[in-house]
Amino acid sequence: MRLHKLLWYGLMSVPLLFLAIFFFYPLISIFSFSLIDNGAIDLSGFVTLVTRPLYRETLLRTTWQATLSTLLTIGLALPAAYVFTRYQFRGKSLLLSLTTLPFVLPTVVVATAFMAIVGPRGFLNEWLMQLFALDEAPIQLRGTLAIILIVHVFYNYAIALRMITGYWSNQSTNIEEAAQVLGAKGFNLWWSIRLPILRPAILAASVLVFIFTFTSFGVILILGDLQFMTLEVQIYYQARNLFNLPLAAALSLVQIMTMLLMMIFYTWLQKNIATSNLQSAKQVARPVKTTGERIFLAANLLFIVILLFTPLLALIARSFIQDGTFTLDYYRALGELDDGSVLAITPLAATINSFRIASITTIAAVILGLISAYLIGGHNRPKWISQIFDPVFMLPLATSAVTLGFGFTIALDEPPLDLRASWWIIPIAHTLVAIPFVVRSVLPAIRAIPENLYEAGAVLGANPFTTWRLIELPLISRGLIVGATFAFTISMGEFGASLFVVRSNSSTMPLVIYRLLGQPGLNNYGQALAMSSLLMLVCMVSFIAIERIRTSGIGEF
Amino acid sequence: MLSVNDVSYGYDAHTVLDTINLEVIEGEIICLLGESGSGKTTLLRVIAGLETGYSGEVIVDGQTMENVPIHQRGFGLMFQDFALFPHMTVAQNVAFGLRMQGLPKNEQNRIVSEMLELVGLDGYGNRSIDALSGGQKQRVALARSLAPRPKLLMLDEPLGSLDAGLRERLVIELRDIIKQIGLTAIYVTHDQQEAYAIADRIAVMNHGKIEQFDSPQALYQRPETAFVARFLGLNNIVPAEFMRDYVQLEPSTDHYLIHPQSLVFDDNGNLAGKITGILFQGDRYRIEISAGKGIDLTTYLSTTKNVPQIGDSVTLRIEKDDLHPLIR
Repeated sequence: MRLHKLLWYGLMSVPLLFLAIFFFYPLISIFSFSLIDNGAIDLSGFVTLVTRPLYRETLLRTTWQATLSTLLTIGLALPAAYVFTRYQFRGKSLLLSLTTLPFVLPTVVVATAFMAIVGPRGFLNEWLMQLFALDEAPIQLRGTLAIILIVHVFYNYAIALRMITGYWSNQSTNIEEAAQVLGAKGFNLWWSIRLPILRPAILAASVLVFIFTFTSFGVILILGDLQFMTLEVQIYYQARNLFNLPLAAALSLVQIMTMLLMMIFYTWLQKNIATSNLQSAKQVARPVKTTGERIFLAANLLFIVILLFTPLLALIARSFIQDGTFTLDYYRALGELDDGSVLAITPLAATINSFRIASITTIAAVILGLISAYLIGGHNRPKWISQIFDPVFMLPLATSAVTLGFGFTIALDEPPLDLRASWWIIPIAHTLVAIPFVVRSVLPAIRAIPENLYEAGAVLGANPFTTWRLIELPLISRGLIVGATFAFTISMGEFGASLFVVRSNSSTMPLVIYRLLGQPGLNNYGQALAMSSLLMLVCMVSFIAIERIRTSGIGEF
Repeated sequence: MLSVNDVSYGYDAHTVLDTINLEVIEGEIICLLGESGSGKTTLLRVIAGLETGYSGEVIVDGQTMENVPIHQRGFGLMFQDFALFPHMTVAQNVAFGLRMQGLPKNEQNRIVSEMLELVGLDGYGNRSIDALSGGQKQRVALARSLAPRPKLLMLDEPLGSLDAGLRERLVIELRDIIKQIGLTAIYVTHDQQEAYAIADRIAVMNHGKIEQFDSPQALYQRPETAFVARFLGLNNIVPAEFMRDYVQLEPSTDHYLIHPQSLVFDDNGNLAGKITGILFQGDRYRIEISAGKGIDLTTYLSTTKNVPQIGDSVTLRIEKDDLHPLIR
């Protein structure tokens, strides 16, 4: 019995130890780097931050673009949420599940996809140049706020749509009907009834979208082209290009604090949503009747389809077309390395490397995430344990990838933890990012197992391990597979942290795409397209797997 | 076979079980009967080993259960909500205990089909749990707990989630099956009719104590306390001093119980009263009589008889033998 307990504690401490070494230690390093110099408190980093207008501007621009992105996303998602809540139409659930596709698409892929439409060599510019016989691309969006806003809407539209639709579907229509009987309609109905009812969901969605766009990195780095400096890009720029580590640390600290505040705010909002008076989910959707409704529905659906699929289709199409004809050259070139290429290994080698890293990440994240989930929500756990460790294991999610990567480079650089040159630092960083997803996928399944199933197993003669193996494990396997798929996909597409920890001779798919995009020449661009298409394919397969496992699970248990 | 000696259990200064003593003989079905919160389920869980941290002793076949983990006790437990394993078929559920005993596969299969036949579910082995009705789930749960031939079968409100008609039928079936195998069983319920139907002996529980442990007939005929009497629906409890006006009594107790069937209308009766309420119940009328001094009595009258009216004055005959003394 004693040994059993000891073993249990040993197991539970593994993910905590992992988190302590690879998350909290780098985080503390950032703190000390930005606050302490030669044993004394030194705030020069912050002084620079405040006094140099450049950095004030960075902070303002970050907040500004995040605010704009949020407003735009919510504004566009709101009418669609109405459509999804109130109208019945064919393919509704399929479309709703398809909207979440961007979740699993790596930023480099999405950036490349948008470039394939509106970039200098994108379809749109090519057509316009042909049409008007121009020498130069008429649409120049790289480095502008506009392209960043568009891509942010692409990424976050589904989050807002899903959150608002989910909340709205559970609200009774009585209040609205009462208002209509009293004479409210049109603008009045929206302004004085619908929006106040939806306020909790809109607020929560806004905060989440703000968090995501505030920490957006890959999209801004690639499409902003270092002309559009946000906090994240600035951290990267200061740390990797200028080697101004104290300043990068100070910026990271600002970033961490902002995120922490937003997360606390978000958690508080979520609690409010949970306690607000929800009606039982009544079916309020009905078929469209009038022509006006039909147009409204069609417009929203068209917008979703265009927003979601044009960039992805354009990416695939562009990767097969060279000078107006079909070609496989870009794909063939993936196995070769040109003289004077920026790459140290072939794209194909990077692909293999990515798969290796993703496999190891998946295994590590599943094991650590599973133990963590049990630590938080296993049966017979005291409530306070869940209350402490639940947020702890979510922290890596609230910390931006760039901050994580930066923390790694300044913390894990001396013995016994000198991992800078080690290949293993990549899967470790990816595992850190992936653990929260595994925990989130498995935890609800663990919590859904009724206490008396364990008791039934025990009474029938199964010891605790057998009970776990034969009863619990099969019941959480679905969640585990979803978590594993997430971990794999995240690792395949991870960009921000990788940029810091990956060496050029062990490059990954997203990094190769990024390097290729930064180079002139049609061949480099073509290879980036081909590579992005492949990566997108991998992520799409994962996405389909996740959605299938999830939906087939409904009603099963 | 089973002895529960001075078992107490509680948490946060809240007593759930208060010095419980209970003896169960090999092969009998006993019932723990009580309202929710009376501690009946907790007592069952203590015996099963699902609750720890109690004081006192649980002894099975002369052996203390203190350090025997649940999975080595060899008991069977049927849960109120069945606790069937949702990812297994009917047969896999029933076979689980046998599998844990390490029985060979063909032996498992033989017992499983035997058990499914016993509970009237032959041919259901390959069904999934989702595809079953409430009554069928109940049968699977029973088969699962019977299959390993437990030393002691425990049933925690096994019919609680089923509707009344089904319950009435299944309780008789349940008793037949348990008796057929010859198991010792403890059955927990809050329903007295269920308890009468299934139990050889009933332990009525109240606030963590056993009020009375007796056969169903004895319990009904001679409830020892006012609580037991009221719990069984016997509400004619009258103070001794009131009865002394009508019957010669030795002062042995404070209160007496009169069974409603002992209250007979008799024109030459010794107790006068007024009818205050009449309730038609189909095969009988329930009649409320006020006997003065704030004493209300209940009796039943067959619907084939002429029925009195509210406000009628009546006389009843009460003999000394009709009075049953209550300890508390």
